[in-house]
Amino acid sequence: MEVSESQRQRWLKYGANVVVSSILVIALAAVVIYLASLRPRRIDTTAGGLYSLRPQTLSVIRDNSKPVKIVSLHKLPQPPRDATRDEMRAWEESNAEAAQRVQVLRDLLAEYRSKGRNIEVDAIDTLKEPAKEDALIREVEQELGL
Amino acid sequence: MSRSVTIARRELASFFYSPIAYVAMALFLLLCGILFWDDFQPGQPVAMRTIFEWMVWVLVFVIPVLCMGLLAQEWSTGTFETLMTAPLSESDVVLGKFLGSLLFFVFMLAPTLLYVALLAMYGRPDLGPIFSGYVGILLVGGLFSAVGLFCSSLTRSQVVAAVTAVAVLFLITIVPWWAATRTPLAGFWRKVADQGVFTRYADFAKGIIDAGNVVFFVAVTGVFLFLTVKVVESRRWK
Repeated sequence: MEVSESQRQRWLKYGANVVVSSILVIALAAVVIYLASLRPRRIDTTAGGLYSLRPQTLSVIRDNSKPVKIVSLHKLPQPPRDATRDEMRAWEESNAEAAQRVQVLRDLLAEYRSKGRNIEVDAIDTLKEPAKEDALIREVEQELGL
Repeated sequence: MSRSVTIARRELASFFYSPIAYVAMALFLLLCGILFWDDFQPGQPVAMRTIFEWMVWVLVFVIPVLCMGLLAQEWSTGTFETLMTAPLSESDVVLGKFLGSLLFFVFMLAPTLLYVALLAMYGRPDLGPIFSGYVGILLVGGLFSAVGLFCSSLTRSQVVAAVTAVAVLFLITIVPWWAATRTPLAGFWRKVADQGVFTRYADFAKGIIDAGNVVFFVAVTGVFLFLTVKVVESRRWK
Protein backbone atom coordinates (compact mmCIF):
# COMPACT_ATOMS: atom_id res chain seq x y z
CA MET A 1 0.00 0.00 0.00
CA GLU A 2 1.43 3.41 -0.98
CA VAL A 3 1.61 6.02 1.75
CA SER A 4 1.21 9.61 0.55
CA GLU A 5 3.82 12.22 1.51
CA SER A 6 2.95 14.53 4.36
CA GLN A 7 3.23 18.30 3.87
CA ARG A 8 6.29 18.35 6.12
CA GLN A 9 8.02 15.61 4.09
CA ARG A 10 7.31 17.46 0.86
CA TRP A 11 8.77 20.67 2.30
CA LEU A 12 11.90 18.86 3.45
CA LYS A 13 12.37 17.00 0.16
CA TYR A 14 11.75 19.82 -2.30
CA GLY A 15 12.95 22.65 -0.02
CA ALA A 16 16.31 20.97 0.53
CA ASN A 17 16.62 20.43 -3.21
CA VAL A 18 15.98 24.15 -3.88
CA VAL A 19 18.41 25.30 -1.19
CA VAL A 20 21.23 22.98 -2.33
CA SER A 21 20.82 23.74 -6.05
CA SER A 22 20.63 27.51 -5.35
CA ILE A 23 23.81 27.42 -3.26
CA LEU A 24 25.56 25.43 -6.01
CA VAL A 25 24.51 27.89 -8.74
CA ILE A 26 25.58 30.91 -6.66
CA ALA A 27 28.95 29.25 -5.91
CA LEU A 28 29.42 28.39 -9.59
CA ALA A 29 28.70 31.99 -10.60
CA ALA A 30 31.19 33.26 -7.99
CA VAL A 31 33.88 30.89 -9.31
CA VAL A 32 33.23 31.95 -12.93
CA ILE A 33 33.44 35.66 -11.97
CA TYR A 34 36.65 35.02 -10.01
CA LEU A 35 38.24 33.07 -12.90
CA ALA A 36 37.32 35.84 -15.35
CA SER A 37 39.03 38.40 -13.12
CA LEU A 38 42.28 36.41 -13.04
CA ARG A 39 43.08 37.04 -16.70
CA PRO A 40 41.68 40.49 -17.46
CA ARG A 41 40.83 41.09 -21.11
CA ARG A 42 40.06 44.74 -21.67
CA ILE A 43 39.14 46.55 -24.88
CA ASP A 44 39.85 50.27 -24.81
CA THR A 45 37.27 51.74 -27.20
CA THR A 46 38.51 55.35 -26.94
CA ALA A 47 39.94 56.72 -30.19
CA GLY A 48 43.14 57.93 -28.51
CA GLY A 49 43.65 54.79 -26.43
CA LEU A 50 43.27 56.88 -23.25
CA TYR A 51 43.24 53.88 -20.93
CA SER A 52 45.83 51.70 -22.64
CA LEU A 53 49.07 51.44 -20.68
CA ARG A 54 52.36 50.84 -22.49
CA PRO A 55 53.76 47.27 -22.29
CA GLN A 56 56.78 48.58 -20.35
CA THR A 57 54.51 50.21 -17.75
CA LEU A 58 52.43 47.05 -17.53
CA SER A 59 55.45 44.85 -16.91
CA VAL A 60 56.70 47.22 -14.15
CA ILE A 61 53.28 47.13 -12.49
CA ARG A 62 52.92 43.37 -12.77
CA ASP A 63 56.45 42.56 -11.59
CA ASN A 64 56.15 44.84 -8.58
CA SER A 65 56.02 42.73 -5.42
CA LYS A 66 56.04 45.45 -2.74
CA PRO A 67 53.01 47.53 -1.78
CA VAL A 68 53.07 50.87 -3.60
CA LYS A 69 50.83 53.88 -3.06
CA ILE A 70 50.51 56.41 -5.88
CA VAL A 71 48.94 59.71 -4.87
CA SER A 72 48.09 62.53 -7.21
CA LEU A 73 47.85 66.03 -5.71
CA HIS A 74 46.00 68.64 -7.70
CA LYS A 75 44.26 71.97 -7.20
CA LEU A 76 40.96 72.24 -8.96
CA PRO A 77 39.44 75.76 -8.62
CA GLN A 78 36.42 75.73 -6.34
CA PRO A 79 33.04 77.05 -7.56
CA PRO A 80 32.23 80.59 -6.39
CA ARG A 81 29.99 80.79 -3.32
CA ASP A 82 26.44 82.15 -3.74
CA ALA A 83 26.92 82.24 -7.52
CA THR A 84 23.93 82.73 -9.79
CA ARG A 85 23.07 80.07 -12.33
CA ASP A 86 24.70 82.07 -15.14
CA GLU A 87 27.84 82.71 -13.08
CA MET A 88 28.01 79.03 -12.22
CA ARG A 89 27.65 78.13 -15.90
CA ALA A 90 30.47 80.53 -16.85
CA TRP A 91 32.67 79.11 -14.10
CA GLU A 92 32.02 75.54 -15.27
CA GLU A 93 32.83 76.55 -18.85
CA SER A 94 36.15 78.16 -17.91
CA ASN A 95 37.20 75.21 -15.75
CA ALA A 96 35.91 72.39 -17.94
CA GLU A 97 39.33 71.62 -19.37
CA ALA A 98 41.01 71.40 -15.95
CA ALA A 99 38.19 69.18 -14.65
CA GLN A 100 38.54 66.96 -17.70
CA ARG A 101 42.29 66.62 -17.11
CA VAL A 102 41.73 65.61 -13.48
CA GLN A 103 39.14 63.06 -14.61
CA VAL A 104 41.60 61.51 -17.09
CA LEU A 105 44.23 61.38 -14.34
CA ARG A 106 41.85 59.66 -11.91
CA ASP A 107 40.88 57.14 -14.61
CA LEU A 108 44.52 56.44 -15.38
CA LEU A 109 45.26 55.85 -11.69
CA ALA A 110 42.31 53.47 -11.56
CA GLU A 111 43.89 51.57 -14.48
CA TYR A 112 47.16 51.26 -12.52
CA ARG A 113 45.22 49.85 -9.58
CA SER A 114 43.29 47.38 -11.72
CA LYS A 115 46.48 46.07 -13.35
CA GLY A 116 48.67 45.68 -10.27
CA ARG A 117 47.93 43.64 -7.15
CA ASN A 118 50.02 45.71 -4.74
CA ILE A 119 49.06 49.14 -5.96
CA GLU A 120 46.94 51.55 -4.02
CA VAL A 121 46.00 54.85 -5.64
CA ASP A 122 44.40 58.10 -4.53
CA ALA A 123 43.77 61.52 -6.04
CA ILE A 124 43.59 64.41 -3.60
CA ASP A 125 42.19 67.82 -4.40
CA THR A 126 44.28 69.92 -2.02
CA LEU A 127 41.80 72.82 -2.00
CA LYS A 128 38.78 70.62 -1.36
CA GLU A 129 40.39 68.02 0.91
CA PRO A 130 43.06 69.76 3.04
CA ALA A 131 42.65 67.20 5.87
CA LYS A 132 43.45 64.36 3.49
CA GLU A 133 46.55 66.22 2.29
CA ASP A 134 47.71 66.74 5.92
CA ALA A 135 47.16 63.04 6.65
CA LEU A 136 49.27 62.13 3.61
CA ILE A 137 52.11 64.46 4.70
CA ARG A 138 52.05 62.90 8.19
CA GLU A 139 52.10 59.42 6.62
CA VAL A 140 55.11 60.29 4.43
CA GLU A 141 56.93 61.88 7.36
CA GLN A 142 56.38 58.77 9.45
CA GLU A 143 57.52 56.55 6.59
CA LEU A 144 60.74 58.53 6.18
CA GLY A 145 61.27 58.93 9.92
CA LEU A 146 61.24 62.74 9.82
CA MET B 1 13.23 28.67 -26.76
CA SER B 2 10.43 29.39 -29.27
CA ARG B 3 7.93 29.07 -26.40
CA SER B 4 9.89 31.67 -24.44
CA VAL B 5 9.85 33.94 -27.49
CA THR B 6 6.05 33.61 -27.65
CA ILE B 7 5.76 34.58 -23.98
CA ALA B 8 8.23 37.44 -24.54
CA ARG B 9 6.12 38.76 -27.41
CA ARG B 10 2.97 38.59 -25.29
CA GLU B 11 4.74 40.32 -22.40
CA LEU B 12 6.15 43.05 -24.64
CA ALA B 13 2.68 43.73 -26.06
CA SER B 14 1.22 43.90 -22.55
CA PHE B 15 3.77 46.58 -21.60
CA PHE B 16 2.37 48.78 -24.37
CA TYR B 17 -1.14 48.44 -22.87
CA SER B 18 0.06 49.33 -19.38
CA PRO B 19 -0.14 52.97 -18.24
CA ILE B 20 2.48 52.27 -15.56
CA ALA B 21 5.01 51.26 -18.24
CA TYR B 22 4.37 54.52 -20.11
CA VAL B 23 4.74 56.54 -16.90
CA ALA B 24 8.03 54.76 -16.07
CA MET B 25 9.29 55.28 -19.63
CA ALA B 26 8.32 58.98 -19.62
CA LEU B 27 9.97 59.49 -16.23
CA PHE B 28 13.17 57.80 -17.42
CA LEU B 29 13.35 59.85 -20.61
CA LEU B 30 12.47 63.09 -18.82
CA LEU B 31 15.19 62.62 -16.20
CA CYS B 32 17.75 61.56 -18.82
CA GLY B 33 16.74 64.55 -20.98
CA ILE B 34 17.25 67.00 -18.09
CA LEU B 35 20.63 65.45 -17.23
CA PHE B 36 21.72 65.51 -20.88
CA TRP B 37 20.62 69.12 -21.30
CA ASP B 38 22.58 70.09 -18.20
CA ASP B 39 25.69 68.46 -19.69
CA PHE B 40 25.13 69.66 -23.26
CA GLN B 41 26.84 73.03 -22.79
CA PRO B 42 29.73 74.88 -24.42
CA GLY B 43 33.09 73.82 -23.01
CA GLN B 44 31.86 70.44 -21.80
CA PRO B 45 33.34 67.24 -23.29
CA VAL B 46 31.49 65.88 -26.33
CA ALA B 47 30.72 62.63 -24.55
CA MET B 48 27.92 60.73 -22.83
CA ARG B 49 29.84 59.43 -19.85
CA THR B 50 27.97 61.54 -17.27
CA ILE B 51 24.55 60.66 -18.68
CA PHE B 52 25.45 56.94 -18.77
CA GLU B 53 26.49 57.06 -15.12
CA TRP B 54 23.28 58.84 -14.12
CA MET B 55 21.19 56.36 -16.11
CA VAL B 56 22.15 53.57 -13.69
CA TRP B 57 20.84 55.61 -10.74
CA VAL B 58 17.59 56.34 -12.54
CA LEU B 59 17.18 52.67 -13.50
CA VAL B 60 17.46 51.58 -9.84
CA PHE B 61 14.00 53.12 -9.41
CA VAL B 62 12.48 52.74 -12.90
CA ILE B 63 13.09 49.04 -13.65
CA PRO B 64 11.46 47.75 -10.42
CA VAL B 65 8.32 49.69 -11.41
CA LEU B 66 8.38 48.12 -14.87
CA CYS B 67 8.93 44.59 -13.56
CA MET B 68 6.76 44.65 -10.43
CA GLY B 69 3.73 43.12 -12.16
CA LEU B 70 5.51 40.45 -14.22
CA LEU B 71 4.68 37.57 -11.86
CA ALA B 72 3.01 39.28 -8.87
CA GLN B 73 0.05 40.18 -11.08
CA GLU B 74 -0.24 36.59 -12.31
CA TRP B 75 -0.34 35.36 -8.70
CA SER B 76 -2.88 37.94 -7.54
CA THR B 77 -5.27 37.47 -10.46
CA GLY B 78 -4.81 33.69 -10.57
CA THR B 79 -3.86 33.67 -14.26
CA PHE B 80 -0.63 31.76 -13.64
CA GLU B 81 -2.50 28.47 -13.20
CA THR B 82 -4.19 29.07 -16.57
CA LEU B 83 -0.82 29.87 -18.13
CA MET B 84 0.63 26.62 -16.79
CA THR B 85 -2.08 24.57 -18.48
CA ALA B 86 -0.28 25.39 -21.76
CA PRO B 87 2.65 23.11 -22.71
CA LEU B 88 5.20 25.35 -21.01
CA SER B 89 7.79 24.79 -18.33
CA GLU B 90 8.49 27.26 -15.52
CA SER B 91 11.81 28.13 -17.20
CA ASP B 92 9.99 29.01 -20.45
CA VAL B 93 7.70 31.39 -18.56
CA VAL B 94 10.52 33.04 -16.58
CA LEU B 95 12.81 33.38 -19.62
CA GLY B 96 9.93 34.72 -21.73
CA LYS B 97 8.99 37.33 -19.16
CA PHE B 98 12.63 38.32 -18.74
CA LEU B 99 13.12 38.72 -22.51
CA GLY B 100 9.88 40.70 -22.77
CA SER B 101 10.96 43.17 -20.09
CA LEU B 102 14.46 43.42 -21.61
CA LEU B 103 12.97 44.20 -25.03
CA PHE B 104 10.79 46.90 -23.50
CA PHE B 105 13.91 48.32 -21.86
CA VAL B 106 15.56 48.46 -25.31
CA PHE B 107 12.51 50.38 -26.61
CA MET B 108 12.80 52.71 -23.64
CA LEU B 109 16.50 53.28 -24.31
CA ALA B 110 16.17 53.79 -28.09
CA PRO B 111 15.12 57.49 -27.94
CA THR B 112 18.38 58.31 -26.13
CA LEU B 113 20.18 57.68 -29.46
CA LEU B 114 18.93 61.17 -30.27
CA TYR B 115 21.59 62.47 -27.85
CA VAL B 116 24.28 60.83 -29.99
CA ALA B 117 22.84 62.54 -33.07
CA LEU B 118 22.83 65.91 -31.25
CA LEU B 119 26.43 65.44 -30.14
CA ALA B 120 27.42 64.54 -33.72
CA MET B 121 25.66 67.67 -35.04
CA TYR B 122 27.49 70.05 -32.70
CA GLY B 123 30.83 68.30 -32.21
CA ARG B 124 32.90 65.25 -32.98
CA PRO B 125 32.08 62.66 -30.31
CA ASP B 126 34.31 59.64 -29.74
CA LEU B 127 31.89 56.85 -30.72
CA GLY B 128 33.86 54.06 -28.98
CA PRO B 129 32.92 55.04 -25.41
CA ILE B 130 29.33 55.68 -26.52
CA PHE B 131 29.14 52.15 -27.92
CA SER B 132 30.66 50.63 -24.77
CA GLY B 133 28.32 52.73 -22.62
CA TYR B 134 25.29 51.29 -24.45
CA VAL B 135 26.69 47.73 -24.14
CA GLY B 136 27.07 48.31 -20.40
CA ILE B 137 23.65 49.87 -19.91
CA LEU B 138 22.05 46.89 -21.70
CA LEU B 139 23.85 44.51 -19.33
CA VAL B 140 22.74 46.64 -16.35
CA GLY B 141 19.17 46.63 -17.70
CA GLY B 142 19.30 42.83 -17.99
CA LEU B 143 20.56 42.41 -14.44
CA PHE B 144 18.04 44.88 -12.98
CA SER B 145 15.19 43.19 -14.90
CA ALA B 146 16.24 39.79 -13.51
CA VAL B 147 16.24 41.25 -9.97
CA GLY B 148 12.82 42.85 -10.60
CA LEU B 149 11.42 39.59 -11.93
CA PHE B 150 12.79 37.66 -8.93
CA CYS B 151 11.22 40.10 -6.46
CA SER B 152 7.95 39.95 -8.41
CA SER B 153 7.94 36.16 -8.04
CA LEU B 154 8.10 36.39 -4.25
CA THR B 155 4.81 38.17 -3.60
CA ARG B 156 1.26 38.79 -4.79
CA SER B 157 1.57 42.53 -4.14
CA GLN B 158 3.09 44.62 -6.92
CA VAL B 159 3.98 47.43 -4.51
CA VAL B 160 5.85 45.03 -2.22
CA ALA B 161 7.64 43.60 -5.28
CA ALA B 162 8.73 47.07 -6.45
CA VAL B 163 9.91 48.17 -2.99
CA THR B 164 11.83 44.92 -2.47
CA ALA B 165 13.50 45.24 -5.89
CA VAL B 166 14.52 48.86 -5.21
CA ALA B 167 15.98 47.77 -1.85
CA VAL B 168 17.96 44.91 -3.45
CA LEU B 169 19.22 47.14 -6.28
CA PHE B 170 20.14 49.85 -3.78
CA LEU B 171 22.12 47.27 -1.82
CA ILE B 172 24.06 45.91 -4.80
CA THR B 173 24.49 49.18 -6.71
CA ILE B 174 24.60 52.26 -4.52
CA VAL B 175 25.78 50.97 -1.11
CA PRO B 176 29.13 49.51 -2.38
CA TRP B 177 29.82 52.67 -4.41
CA TRP B 178 28.98 54.88 -1.43
CA ALA B 179 31.18 52.82 0.90
CA ALA B 180 34.14 52.97 -1.53
CA THR B 181 33.93 56.73 -2.06
CA ARG B 182 33.17 57.82 1.52
CA THR B 183 35.61 55.69 3.44
CA PRO B 184 39.14 54.57 2.57
CA LEU B 185 38.83 50.83 2.03
CA ALA B 186 41.70 48.42 1.58
CA GLY B 187 42.28 44.71 1.05
CA PHE B 188 39.26 42.46 1.37
CA TRP B 189 36.66 45.21 1.82
CA ARG B 190 37.98 47.08 -1.21
CA LYS B 191 37.48 43.89 -3.26
CA VAL B 192 33.94 43.51 -1.90
CA ALA B 193 33.13 47.14 -2.80
CA ASP B 194 34.57 46.57 -6.30
CA GLN B 195 31.85 43.93 -6.88
CA GLY B 196 29.13 46.61 -6.78
CA VAL B 197 27.10 47.09 -9.95
CA PHE B 198 28.01 50.77 -10.30
CA THR B 199 31.74 50.13 -9.91
CA ARG B 200 31.55 47.31 -12.47
CA TYR B 201 29.56 49.52 -14.84
CA ALA B 202 31.87 52.57 -14.53
CA ASP B 203 34.42 50.98 -16.90
CA PHE B 204 31.80 50.68 -19.68
CA ALA B 205 30.81 54.34 -19.21
CA LYS B 206 34.36 55.56 -19.68
CA GLY B 207 34.98 53.38 -22.76
CA ILE B 208 36.42 50.10 -21.55
CA ILE B 209 34.82 46.73 -22.26
CA ASP B 210 36.27 44.36 -19.70
CA ALA B 211 35.51 40.65 -20.22
CA GLY B 212 35.43 40.23 -16.42
CA ASN B 213 32.67 42.82 -16.12
CA VAL B 214 30.66 41.22 -18.94
CA VAL B 215 30.97 37.82 -17.22
CA PHE B 216 29.89 39.42 -13.90
CA PHE B 217 26.68 40.89 -15.36
CA VAL B 218 25.77 37.73 -17.30
CA ALA B 219 26.49 35.44 -14.31
CA VAL B 220 24.56 37.50 -11.75
CA THR B 221 21.64 37.86 -14.18
CA GLY B 222 21.69 34.08 -14.63
CA VAL B 223 21.67 33.52 -10.86
CA PHE B 224 18.60 35.72 -10.36
CA LEU B 225 16.77 34.02 -13.25
CA PHE B 226 17.60 30.60 -11.77
CA LEU B 227 16.31 31.70 -8.35
CA THR B 228 13.12 32.98 -9.99
CA VAL B 229 12.56 29.60 -11.69
CA LYS B 230 13.00 27.89 -8.30
CA VAL B 231 10.49 30.23 -6.63
CA VAL B 232 7.96 29.62 -9.42
CA GLU B 233 8.49 25.85 -9.20
CA SER B 234 7.99 25.95 -5.44
CA ARG B 235 4.36 27.03 -5.98
CA ARG B 236 3.68 23.46 -7.10
CA TRP B 237 4.86 21.65 -4.00
CA LYS B 238 4.09 24.22 -1.31
